[in-house]
Amino acid sequence: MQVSHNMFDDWEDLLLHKTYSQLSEAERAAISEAEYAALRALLHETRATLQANDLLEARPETLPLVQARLARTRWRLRLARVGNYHLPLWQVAAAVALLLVLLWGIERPGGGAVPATALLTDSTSYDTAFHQGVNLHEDSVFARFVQEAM
Amino acid sequence: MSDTTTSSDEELMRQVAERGSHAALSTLYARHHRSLLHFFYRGLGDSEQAQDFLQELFLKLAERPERYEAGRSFRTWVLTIAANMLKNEYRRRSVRARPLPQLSQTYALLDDEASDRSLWAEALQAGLQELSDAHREVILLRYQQELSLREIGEIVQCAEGTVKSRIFYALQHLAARLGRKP
Repeated sequence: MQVSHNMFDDWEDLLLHKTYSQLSEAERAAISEAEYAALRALLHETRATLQANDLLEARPETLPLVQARLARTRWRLRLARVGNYHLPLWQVAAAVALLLVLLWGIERPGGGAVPATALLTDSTSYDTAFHQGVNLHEDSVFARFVQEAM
Repeated sequence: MSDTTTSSDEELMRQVAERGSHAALSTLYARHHRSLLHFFYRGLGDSEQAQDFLQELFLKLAERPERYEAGRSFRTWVLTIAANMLKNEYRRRSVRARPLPQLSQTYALLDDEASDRSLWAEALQAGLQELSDAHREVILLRYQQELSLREIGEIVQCAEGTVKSRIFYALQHLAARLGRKP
C-alpha cells in the first residue's frame, strides 16, 4: 500500500465519511480505489465489532469482592479526612491516649487510693534495708521512746 | 444517601475517594465494567485473564481510591491504569515467551461473502493479537473506547501525530492480515 498517513491529515475522517468518488483529485491520486475501499470497510467493521462489547459477562462475584475491599479501605479514608481538617495526626493520637488513661483511672475500683505498686515498693525497700544489716528498730523514734521510758 | 445515577463519573469517584461510598463505586462499576472487560479481552485474547484483570483493576480502585486526581477525566484515568496493566502483562509474556492463544480459522480466506459477525469478530481478535503492543493499544483506545487523539496521547504518553500514525499503520496491518477484498 503506497499511501502514507502523512498524505491524509484527516484520513480517518475521510475514511469514515467519504466514499472514493467524493475525494478530491489530490486525495484520489494518493490511493487507489481498491485500497481506499478496503481500508474504509475495515475501519467501519473494526469500530462496529469493537464497540459491541457483548462477548463476555463479568463474573458475578467481582463486584461483591470490590465492595468488600472498599469496606476495608473506609477506615483509612476516614482517618485521612481528619487530616483534611488540618488536625495533625499526632495531636489526635495524643488526645485519644489521654482519654484512655483517664478512663482507665476512673474505672479502677477505689480510684483515689495509693496504687498497689507503690505499696509494694515501700514494703520491699524496708525488707531490703533490714536484710542489709541496718536495724531500723534501734534508730527509730519508737525505739528511743522505749529506752527513755525505761 | 445521594442519588448516584445522575452524577458524573468524576463526582462519583470523588465520593469513593473521600467517603468510600459503596453506592458511587457500584454506579461506576455498572457504567464501565463491560467496556473495560472487553478492553482487556481484546488486549489479551483470553477471556479468563480478562476477567482477572477487570477484578484486579477495580480492587486497585477500591484499595487506593485517593490516587484519583481530582479534575482529571475518570475514563482517561482508569484507562491509563488498564493500559499499564496490559503493558506489564505484555512485558511478562515476552519474558516468559508465553504463546498467544491460537485461533483455528485461516482468516486470509475471509472475504466479503463471509458476513458472519462472529467469524469476523474472531478474525479481528486474531488480527489484533498479531499487532505490536503499541499498535494494538491505540486501536483499542480509539475504536473500542472511542477516545480522542489527545486523550490517547495522554494515556500512551506520546504526541497526537504519533498516535495518528500508529493507528494508520495498525489499520494497514489489519487490512493486509484479514485479506479484506474490496
